[in-house]
Amino acid sequence: MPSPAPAPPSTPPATVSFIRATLRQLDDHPSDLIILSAFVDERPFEGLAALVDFRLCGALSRWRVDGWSTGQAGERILFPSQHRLSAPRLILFGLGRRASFVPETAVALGTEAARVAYDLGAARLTTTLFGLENLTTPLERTAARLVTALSSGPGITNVALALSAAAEAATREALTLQWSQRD
Amino acid sequence: MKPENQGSGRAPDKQNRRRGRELALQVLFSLDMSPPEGTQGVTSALFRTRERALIAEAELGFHTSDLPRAEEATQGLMRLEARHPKAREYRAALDRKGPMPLPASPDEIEEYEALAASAGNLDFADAATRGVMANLAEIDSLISDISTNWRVNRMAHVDRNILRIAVYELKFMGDTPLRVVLNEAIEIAKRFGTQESRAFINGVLDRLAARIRDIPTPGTAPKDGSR
Repeated sequence: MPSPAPAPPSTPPATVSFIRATLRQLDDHPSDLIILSAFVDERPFEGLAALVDFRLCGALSRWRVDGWSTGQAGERILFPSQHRLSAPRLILFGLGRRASFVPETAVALGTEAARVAYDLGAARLTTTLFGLENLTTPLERTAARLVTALSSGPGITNVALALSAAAEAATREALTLQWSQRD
Repeated sequence: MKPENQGSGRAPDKQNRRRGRELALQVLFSLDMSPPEGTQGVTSALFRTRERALIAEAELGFHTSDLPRAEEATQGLMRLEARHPKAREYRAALDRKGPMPLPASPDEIEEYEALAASAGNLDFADAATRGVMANLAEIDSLISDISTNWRVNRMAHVDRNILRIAVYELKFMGDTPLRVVLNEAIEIAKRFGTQESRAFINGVLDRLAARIRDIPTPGTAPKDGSR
C-alpha cells in the first residue's frame, strides 16, 4: 500500500519564504502551500490576503461575506488555489481582533504554521509575517523570534539559521530559509 | 443506516455533489485543525447558508405556485430548526391558515434562484459533515484496519478527511455508486492534497470498498456499476 506524503526521508530540504505583499513576490515564490492571515476586523482584506483574493477573483471575500471565515483566532480555512496562484492550495489563519494582537500571537502562529505545513506534506511554504508587519514594535526583533518559532516546528531539525539574517525578513522584499526535515 | 435527511429533498446533480464534497472537506478540515473557538465560522455558516437556500426554495415554490416544492422546503426548514419563524409562516400559508407570502420582485427571484441552485451541495455537505462526526470512531476504525502501516491520527489532515467522507458515503449512503465515490475522492485529492495523496487514497479506498460493500477482490470492477 502506498504511504502518505508527510515528509518522507528522501524529500529535499524544506523551505519557507517570507514575502512582501506584492504580486511579483507572490509569483516569484512557487511553493506547495501559501499561509495567509487576517484579522476579524480586517475588511476588506489587506496585504498578501488581498492580493491572493484578487487572484482568486474574490473567492476569499465571498467566504468572508458568507460567514465561512471570520478571522477568529485559531481559525484555519483550507482553499484550493484553482491554478491561479504559484501554490496549489492555501490556508487562511485567523488572527483575532486587531486591537488585541500582540507579537506573541504571531510567534505562536509561526509555530502552528510549521506544524500545518509539515502535516500537509508541504516542503515549500510561502507566507508573510502573520500581522507583525502591522505592529509598531521593532520588526527585526519580532521577525527573528517568529522565524525561530517557525523553524522549531515538528519534523524540522538542523536549523541552520543566522538570526541576524532571519531578521531581514522584515526589511527585505523576501527571505527564503531552508532546513532539512527529520527522518 | 441511512443518513438523516434534513435537506430540501431535491437530488443534487453531479456538479453540486462535487461542490458538496469539497465543502464537507473544508468544514471537516477546519474542525480537525482548529481549536473549538476557531470553528464557529464554518459551523454557523453551514447552518445559515442552508437556511437561506431553503427559504429561497420555499419562496420560489410559492412564487411559481409549485406548492409541493414549497412544502418540501418548509419541511427542510423545520428539520433544521423546529420553530423556525419562516417555516411557521410557510406552514400556515400551506395549511391555508395564514396569508401567502407577498410576491417577490424580479431581483429577489434572481437571488432566490441563485441560492436555490446551491441547496443540493449544501444538503450533501451538511449530511456528510454531520455523518462523519457522528460516526467518527467507526469510520476511523475502518480506515485503521486497512492502513495498518499508518495510523489515522498520523495521516495528513487533508487525506484523512477525504477518506472519512468517502468511507461515510460507502458505508452510510448506499445510493452512491462505488466508482463515483472513488473517482470523486481522487479528484478532490488532486485539488486539495499532495501528489502522493491520490495514490494513497486510491489504495486505501480500494481495499476499504471491498470490505464495506463486500466485493470479493480488491481492484476488480465494482458490482454496483458506475454513474
